[in-house]
Amino acid sequence: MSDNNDALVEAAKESIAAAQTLAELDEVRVQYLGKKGKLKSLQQQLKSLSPEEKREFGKTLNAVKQSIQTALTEKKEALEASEKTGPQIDAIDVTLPGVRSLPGHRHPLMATMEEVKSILIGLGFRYDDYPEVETEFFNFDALNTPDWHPARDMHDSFYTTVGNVLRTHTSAFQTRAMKQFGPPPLRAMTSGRCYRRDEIDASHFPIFHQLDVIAIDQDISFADLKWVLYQLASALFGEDVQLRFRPSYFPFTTPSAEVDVMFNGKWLEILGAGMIRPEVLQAGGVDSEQWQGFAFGLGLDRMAMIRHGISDIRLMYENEEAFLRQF
Amino acid sequence: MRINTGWLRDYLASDCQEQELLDAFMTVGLEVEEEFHLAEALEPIRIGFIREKKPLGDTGALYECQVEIAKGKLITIVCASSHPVETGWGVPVAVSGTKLPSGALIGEGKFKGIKSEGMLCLDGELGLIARSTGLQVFKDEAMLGASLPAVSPIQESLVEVSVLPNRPDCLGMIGVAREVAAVLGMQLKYPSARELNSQAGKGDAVTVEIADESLCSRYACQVFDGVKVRTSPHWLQSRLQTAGLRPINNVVDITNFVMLEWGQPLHAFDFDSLKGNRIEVRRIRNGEKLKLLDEAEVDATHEPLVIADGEKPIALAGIMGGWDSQTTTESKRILLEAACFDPVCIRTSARKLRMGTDSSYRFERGTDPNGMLSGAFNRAAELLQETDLSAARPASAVTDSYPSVKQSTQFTLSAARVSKILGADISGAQIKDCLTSLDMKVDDDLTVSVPTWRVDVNNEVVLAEDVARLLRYDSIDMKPMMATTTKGRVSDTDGLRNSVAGFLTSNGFLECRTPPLTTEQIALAFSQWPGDAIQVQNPISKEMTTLRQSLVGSLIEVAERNARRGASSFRFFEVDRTFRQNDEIDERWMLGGVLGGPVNDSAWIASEKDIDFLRAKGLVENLLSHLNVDGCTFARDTPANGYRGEEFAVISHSDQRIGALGRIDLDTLGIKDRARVPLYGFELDLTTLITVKSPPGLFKGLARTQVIARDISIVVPSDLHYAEIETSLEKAFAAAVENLETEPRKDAGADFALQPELESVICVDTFSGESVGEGAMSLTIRMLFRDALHTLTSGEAQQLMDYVVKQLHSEYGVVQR
Repeated sequence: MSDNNDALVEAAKESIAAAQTLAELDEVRVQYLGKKGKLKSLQQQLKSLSPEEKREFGKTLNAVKQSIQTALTEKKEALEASEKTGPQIDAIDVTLPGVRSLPGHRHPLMATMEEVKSILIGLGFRYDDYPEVETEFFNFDALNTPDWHPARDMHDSFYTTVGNVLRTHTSAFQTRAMKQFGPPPLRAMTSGRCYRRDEIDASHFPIFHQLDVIAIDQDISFADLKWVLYQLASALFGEDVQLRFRPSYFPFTTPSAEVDVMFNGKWLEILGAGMIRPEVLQAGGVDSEQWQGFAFGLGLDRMAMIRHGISDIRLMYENEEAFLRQF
Repeated sequence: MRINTGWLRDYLASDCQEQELLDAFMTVGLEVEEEFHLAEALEPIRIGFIREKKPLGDTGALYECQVEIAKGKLITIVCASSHPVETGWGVPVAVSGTKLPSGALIGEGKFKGIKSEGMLCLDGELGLIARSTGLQVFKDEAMLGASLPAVSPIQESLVEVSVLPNRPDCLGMIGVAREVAAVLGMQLKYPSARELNSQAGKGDAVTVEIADESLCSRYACQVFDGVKVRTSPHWLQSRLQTAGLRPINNVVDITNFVMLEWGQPLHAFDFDSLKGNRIEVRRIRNGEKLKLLDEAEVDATHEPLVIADGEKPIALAGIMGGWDSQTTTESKRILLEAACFDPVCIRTSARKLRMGTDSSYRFERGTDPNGMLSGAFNRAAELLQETDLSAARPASAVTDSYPSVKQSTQFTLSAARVSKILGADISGAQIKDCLTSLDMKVDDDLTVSVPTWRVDVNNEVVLAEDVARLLRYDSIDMKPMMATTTKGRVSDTDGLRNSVAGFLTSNGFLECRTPPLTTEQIALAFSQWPGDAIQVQNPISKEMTTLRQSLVGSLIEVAERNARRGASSFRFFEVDRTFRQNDEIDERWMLGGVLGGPVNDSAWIASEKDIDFLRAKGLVENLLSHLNVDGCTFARDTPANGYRGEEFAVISHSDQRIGALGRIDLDTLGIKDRARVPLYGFELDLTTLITVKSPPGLFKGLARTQVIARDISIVVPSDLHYAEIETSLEKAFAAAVENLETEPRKDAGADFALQPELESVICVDTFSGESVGEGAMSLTIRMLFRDALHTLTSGEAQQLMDYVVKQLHSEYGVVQR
């Protein structure tokens, strides 16, 4: 009997030692100490024994149960401890690359466009889309640039049908916005593609991107324009950004300015700006005696090229994977 | 306009540092395109000594020189005889390959069989105004090989200024000097008194008749005789050369010089070639022809304005002189002309005739009829009479036809108005100072008389700009914008576009920007919606003729270009407009995508799968759900050009077409397949999507009962579409619920009802093959369902499944496996 019992304890201890996980260990526990376990079947034998034998056998059973229980507890503690320290170090080569598809990227131009937009939205400008196939009226005439005006030479336009051009600048939105949104105050912007019949070279592409802004109120001034441009520039180029305002000419603003930013020790032209001409306000149905405001427009291609150090505009439209993954 | 600062200083009354002068251009708003400090730019020019000189050919026009440019190094240079050179002289040499500040590249030339390896440079050719004889000569042999600026101090700069179209007055040195002087606080120094020299010859004055004074507001002319037409002195030649003009003869050079000085074009006719002592300014007449200086012939087609003598046209007004009346070395008498033409008239003619000259450029932008005579004409008349120039004598009185004198415009400014525009406190005194320095007359009440050369001042805001320019823009302090608060926001479509980009970049897609203006083939391929093509009437290349109707074609080009560079995995998208001409122009925002190659970019995993139709579809389905667009269906349809029919679906939302997905057919596009994996394209109409997207979702509660999963495996005819089976299955399940007999529960009373709902139906396996039989397919479909309040018993679940299978069998004859 006692040999049998010793064998039982040995077998149990072997199973316990072999268990690798808490779940396996629990299976062993059920196998020996559970409701239908091996110890239970031994207990069944008690019924058929004399009281003396019962006492003796009971002691033996208790001892067996105790040694199995102790072994179980020890193993359980050991397993719990090892589970806390984590799995075996050499179980998987964690240095193998993860199985994945490579991350996607936004186009540097679009990322720049979104960034500029979000800054201006914070300053109270509304964003809307306007036509790309634009009438000559909104693209030129409404902007104080009648047909005979030499300034039209600066924009060599693509013509589609009679009276329509592919917009040569996003400024075409100015009087559309004034008409659409009614009396000021108004702060509006748009961005997107513009088209000019330029020869392709490192800094010119016939299709490019601009972002244009207007703000009209009772006394929005040139000084306000400078403030807004500094907010924009400092968000893009850092708090200590330096800007330079040079007089320039646009038929639809006066005073007009070209604005340069100091970048890597050089002045770089980034945008054109000015106070909206009274003629343009009138064309947009806004009383120029009562209201005044500013407009500015920037070339997003150039902005993206400056920010990312891209030397050739053509790279932006070739969409090479090796290029797109860098931003 | 190219400006030599040494020449510009002729018109400044006081001196200043070169850098101050250069900075002044920018401060005042003259846009500097390019700037050459000649001391640096002429560094490559070396002093070479002429060791041998012999005539080349027998015309006496060319010499072949051996020039030592470094100790012992001789090169051959062929030079023209316009300036004498002697053996033993050291002169500035540009060896072939040198680029001059003028932009000219010195090349190797061949003259009469002799290879010339460089050029002996005159001052003007180097961009310098002439020192003395126009050629710098060095006698000290020690200077051999030295750089020109090292042995000859150079202060001048050459500045390429782009004069903006509103300021034609700055198309002359005096105009530029006026601006620069104003901002530097200097006086402008005019080269001659600005009043008409009253000297008149004895001959009869020429009669001038202007047919339409709206086209020519003023015309003046005078005859000179005894004219000696010859080569100009070097001070004059070099000045023309620095501006990029070629010296011709002293009479022509004087008219060009005065144009560069005053911005007023002039012309000199050979007077003896004219008939009738009469000048007419009129449109060309039918049948008349005019041969121009460039030997082109103009007829009456575009009815340009001409200058005519008593018989015939002699010049194209404001644009170019005539061939037959040009001043040559034979000319004895000349007629000097100055005029003021209507800018629109000249611009229209120049455009129609496709001619642009220095003269038309200035007239198109507007010239000053008042400065025309007292300034430019007078100056030219003086120069013609100088003995070292053409030594001419006036032979008639000046004829001046000026029907209506142009008066200066007046504006009354207020300091308050100027301050309000600029956002700074500007005093009346400041305004007066600034405008006076620009030669404007300003009264104490700020009434401003604007000189007639300022054609741009048509509104008082221009004067506010002048004030701001002269006070310098940088002196106006910015101030936080104090205005009515407005609501900044993106538009709905813009929000959707960003949402799309966010999803796709998170799924490994690269965003592209491709030209919307493309070839007709690419523009029209993959188009899903009706509408005519929109083409440009004046394309610049055949690659950009048509506005595209789909983005997929351009993205295929991107994929193939990348394949050529070795890419094996393709995920590209673009969000942009597409264009169609319907009753109105339809600018529709689209999303286009192209994908193909391995699902994961992990080539070391052997089991890696390639993207196929269903994987591409899964991506589009996820995108639609990301955008909150529910209830989209994919259906077979006739594919748009460029897709392959057997793998193509149109995507619809309640009968409205919102997009398409399909495998690309490179053959029909004529594109060579370099990708070597199936490419899939998809497109979604964002303009429509914005109208069908669902509002933000409402919380539906969380079911705490256990979900039941049951698979059914059925054999169906292979032409039966899965979507139909799924629909039937959903209907069958609903019917099964109706017929469900509940089993009693401990935790519920006698009267409880079960309303199990089908939460999802997933196709987990499809199989076809011999064991299934021909024309049939085995499908395993997993159904997940539960009742929100009571966990279903296995018996109840079995009832539902039995019912569903029975229904499907009766509907399609499907067999449960």
